[in-house]
Amino acid sequence: MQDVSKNVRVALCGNPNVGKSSLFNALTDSRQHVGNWPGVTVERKSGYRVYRGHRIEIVDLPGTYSLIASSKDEEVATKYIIEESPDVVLQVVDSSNLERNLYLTMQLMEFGKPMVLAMNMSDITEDRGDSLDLDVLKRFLGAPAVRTVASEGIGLEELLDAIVGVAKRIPVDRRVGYGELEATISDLRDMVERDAEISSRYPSRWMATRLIENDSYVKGLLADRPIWKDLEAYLSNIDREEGEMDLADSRYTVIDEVVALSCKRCKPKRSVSDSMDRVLVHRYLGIPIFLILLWGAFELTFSAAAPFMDLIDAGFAELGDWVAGNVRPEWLASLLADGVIGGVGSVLIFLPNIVIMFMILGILEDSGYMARVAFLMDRLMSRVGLQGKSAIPLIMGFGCNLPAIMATRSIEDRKDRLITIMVTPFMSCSARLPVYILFAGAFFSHMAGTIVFMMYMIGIAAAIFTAMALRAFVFKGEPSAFIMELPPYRLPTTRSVGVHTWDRAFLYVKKAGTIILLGVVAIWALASLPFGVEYGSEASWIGAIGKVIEPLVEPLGFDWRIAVALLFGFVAKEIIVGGLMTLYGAGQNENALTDALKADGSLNQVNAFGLMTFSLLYMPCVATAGIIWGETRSWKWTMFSIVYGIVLAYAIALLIWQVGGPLFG
Amino acid sequence: MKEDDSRLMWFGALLAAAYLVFGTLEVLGGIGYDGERLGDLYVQGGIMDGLVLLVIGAVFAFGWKERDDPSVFPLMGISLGTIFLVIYLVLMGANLLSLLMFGSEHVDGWTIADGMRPGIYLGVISALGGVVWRKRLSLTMLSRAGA
Amino acid sequence: MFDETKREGPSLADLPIGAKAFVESVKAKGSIRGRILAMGLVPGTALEVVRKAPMGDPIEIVLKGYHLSLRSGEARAVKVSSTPVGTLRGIEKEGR
Repeated sequence: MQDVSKNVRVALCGNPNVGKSSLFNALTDSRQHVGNWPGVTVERKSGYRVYRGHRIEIVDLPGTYSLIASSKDEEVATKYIIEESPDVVLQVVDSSNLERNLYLTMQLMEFGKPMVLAMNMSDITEDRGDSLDLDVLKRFLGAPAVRTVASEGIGLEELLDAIVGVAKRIPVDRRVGYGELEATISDLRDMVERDAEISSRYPSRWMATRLIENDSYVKGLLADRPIWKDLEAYLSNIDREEGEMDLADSRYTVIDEVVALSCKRCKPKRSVSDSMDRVLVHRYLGIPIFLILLWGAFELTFSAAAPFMDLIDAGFAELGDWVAGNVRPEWLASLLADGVIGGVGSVLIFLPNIVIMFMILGILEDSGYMARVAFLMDRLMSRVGLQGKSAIPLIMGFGCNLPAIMATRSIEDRKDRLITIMVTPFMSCSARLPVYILFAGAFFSHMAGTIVFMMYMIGIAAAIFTAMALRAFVFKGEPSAFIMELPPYRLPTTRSVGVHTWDRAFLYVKKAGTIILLGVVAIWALASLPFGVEYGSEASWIGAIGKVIEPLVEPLGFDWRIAVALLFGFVAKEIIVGGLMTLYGAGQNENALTDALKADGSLNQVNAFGLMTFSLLYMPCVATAGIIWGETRSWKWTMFSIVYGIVLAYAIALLIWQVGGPLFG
Repeated sequence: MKEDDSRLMWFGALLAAAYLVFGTLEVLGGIGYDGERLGDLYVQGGIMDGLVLLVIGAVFAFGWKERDDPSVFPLMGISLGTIFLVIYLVLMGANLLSLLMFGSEHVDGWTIADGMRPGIYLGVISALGGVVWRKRLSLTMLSRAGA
Repeated sequence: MFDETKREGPSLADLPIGAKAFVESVKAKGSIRGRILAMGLVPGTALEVVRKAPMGDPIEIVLKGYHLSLRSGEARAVKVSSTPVGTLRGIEKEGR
């Protein structure tokens, strides 16, 4: 046994929306470490605090309603408690919603660890005149319960005292009685205990109940043991579905008794929230209100960020100019100015967007409105293989795909989130607009607006097609469920929104920064080598690559200059225009480029339309690809996103040129 | 309370009419209807701006349809009107910042008058309503978020 | 309304807005079953349908003092009855 008097490891559990993150932040201040749980994309946060001679290390487990390993979050939480054996399990309980919160408590008790309950949001409970007898709770559950208001830091000392107090003790043995199922549980326990190694490591009663509940993690632990055959035979003879229901039933029976004894006047009132919902999810007004709020969020994210983006842009341009003028040798100046500084600039320029967007998303999430959006949009989104919560990231994608993909974090379901990430790049971001404006203006002057609008529609169609295809073929037979709590509306706190925003902004700079920088430097190298060539010219490596792939893009009606411009576009899609300026020798003048494009006999309405479509679809920019990797932690899905985009763009552009060329060309 | 409710409903009806009229003007302006006279009312002729006003107007207007809880719709209308007042003010501030930092050419000759729009002065009226009925808005009854 | 002889009773998805009922049983399979049970939809639980989303789906119910939304697909797997007959919690059940 390790020395717990100095080092106390605490697992922080709780339902979603109960103030778990606030409590975590309040307990650990800023001494936090953010990472990922091994092998999964669930974020792992840990932090510590020194209190009365103890170093209390707190690991923030994902918010879950139960602990049967049916989702990644639940598996992560279960695995941590079982395998890393924390000294104390701390559950944050929403005092205003005792019954459902205590269900998790019932399951946590089965682990046989010392427990502490933080009765959070106790201010609301008291405001509405409820009284909670913590002594009764404590005696009933065998765990101290402490009143807290995490957002205001109330009750922290008592909580820490309780943690330190139980950490040194043997836990009080409290278990839920499962009535007639006890015989089955006891049979299963006996079988599990025949395996000395397993039963010394895991609580056998916990294993028995989880086997009835068909828990994949427990099954995995036992699958290669000799006892598994017997267990399997036994389990196939009992009605596990009925058993699962009886277990849940027994837990709620105990909860009913606990609540009846410990809580007076626990009649939740939600009059304010209910009234607000009469308007905000109104049959006719709900969706229009959502759309205008979204438009407002959109305007704030992209227009209010403009001066800050311009400032960053100007700053980096200045710095680049200074380096280009003062650093020698010239190749180093070019590497620093065009490569590194340009690259870092292209990462940081999105920072104002990201900060504003996550502030807005934080407010929407904390206020409880996000859950309503999912509720409103689910019908529409589920028709095309997505779900309600996909709506916000997808629409944000019209501004910039990158923060949009980060916003998919609010989707708990892994498959739904992955599909949303995969289709987000087809939302035509603002960086693609300059390309449309250039070509639509040059070749479709009389109907330029309609053509640009068509691009957005093609993008949406591609997204719908992709989502449906992924749902039908890749995630075939995996049903997606939508069971979601609608928490009462709350007033977001500056602190919570601030912490949320800071976390995301920091993560963006750290994760995206490294990979984007690499991509940008690689493109720079290709455009500048061999030594002495003009940047991005025919003689450079990228020019050579353009020449090499010219036969590939010829069936689409593109020449090598377009091919090179599209390669540049991988860095950021607006660079396509800049690249064409260089390649057509148009200097920095867009009108000159328009004339040059019109004068170029190889371009007409058909392949101009094809080129616009191609640049819409053909793979996310390097920043977005970087963030796709950062969010999915999967090279496979990142590569899929890139390759699939190219294939789709190629197929459609090919169709346009091969069918449209003879018809209209 | 009853008397207060009816006052609130009349205030809502007034704002419903105002928002719906200006929303319609904005949309009309947006699809190319005579812009000169509208300019005097600071109607910019933005389709989206118009739709925002129309939706807020509709929220106020629904107060008359669903009268079993008469205060909710005007109060939510007031909240939405105020939210958009804040959004428009922030956008104005951002443009002003650009103007001050980079000069008038950078913002295509934008002036403060270009930032002025019905969403702002109607929003001010909404916000004033919010001050009058601040107790009814009961935002304080919402607990602070801890999640 | 509730035919005793019919084995398949009405489900949560059949209830109109404003209806109050008790959970009779949960027919869902796999991991969705666990999620439905964990959210408190266990036999004998009282619930009320609050509203439906603009396009009729998902639905919003209130149970155990909190609000929950679920698609009608999931709601169809939750059988309900107007009285908590035979599934009162704490009473021994026989002969399944």
